[in-house]
Amino acid sequence: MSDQAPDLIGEVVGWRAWRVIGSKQLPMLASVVARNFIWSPQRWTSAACEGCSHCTRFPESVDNDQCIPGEHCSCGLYAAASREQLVGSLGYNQYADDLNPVFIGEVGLVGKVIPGTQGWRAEKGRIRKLYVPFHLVDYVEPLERLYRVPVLLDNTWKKTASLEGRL
Amino acid sequence: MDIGEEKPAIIVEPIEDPFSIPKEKPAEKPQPVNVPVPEKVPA
Repeated sequence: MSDQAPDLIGEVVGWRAWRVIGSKQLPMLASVVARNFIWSPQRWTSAACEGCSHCTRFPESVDNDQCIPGEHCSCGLYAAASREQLVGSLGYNQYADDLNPVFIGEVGLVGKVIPGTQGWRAEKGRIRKLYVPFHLVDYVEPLERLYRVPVLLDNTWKKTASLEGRL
Repeated sequence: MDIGEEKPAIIVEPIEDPFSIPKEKPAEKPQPVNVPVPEKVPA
C-alpha cells in the first residue's frame, strides 16, 4: 500500500456482487464482469489492470502504485455505496444464470480509494459478509468454510436485508 | 459499475490486519507471594 499518511483508519464499507464459479463444495467468488478475476479467500484482494485504455497507452504507469486505482483510468475494485444502489439502480442480479449464481455482500476497502457519489473503487478489498438466495442454501457452509465470513440467507433481489440470520 | 462523480483519492489503512493469526500469549510465570510470619504462634 502507499507510504503516504492515511486519511482514514479502518475500512471503507461498500456493497458488491460476485459470480460464483467452481463447485458447490468449493465455490469461488469472481468478478461479475471479469470472470477470471477471483476474490481471494482469507486475504486482501488486490486490484489488477484489465488493460484499460490509459494503462495500455502508458504501460510504465502500471508498475506504479499510484496507477491502481488511477485518476485517469477505470481500474480498481468497485463497490456500491449501499445495497439499495447495488440491487436497485445497478441491478447486478441480472448477471445470474443457472450455472453461475450471483451473490451479494459487504466488502471492506483499503489502500488508495477513490470515492464517488455512488460508491468507490479501491486498491485492495476483502469480503466482510455474504448474502445467499434462500434456494441456494447449499452454498452457505462451503462459503463460510472457505472465506471465513458470515454467510446469511436472504432475498438478494431486495434492496434491504429481509432478515439477519439463518434458517 | 458506475460509482458516479469521482472525488479526490484517499488513503485508507486498516486498524489491524484481519487475516493475521493472533499470537498465543505466553503463560504468565507465577509470582512468589510474601506471606508475613506472625511473631507469636497463636495458642
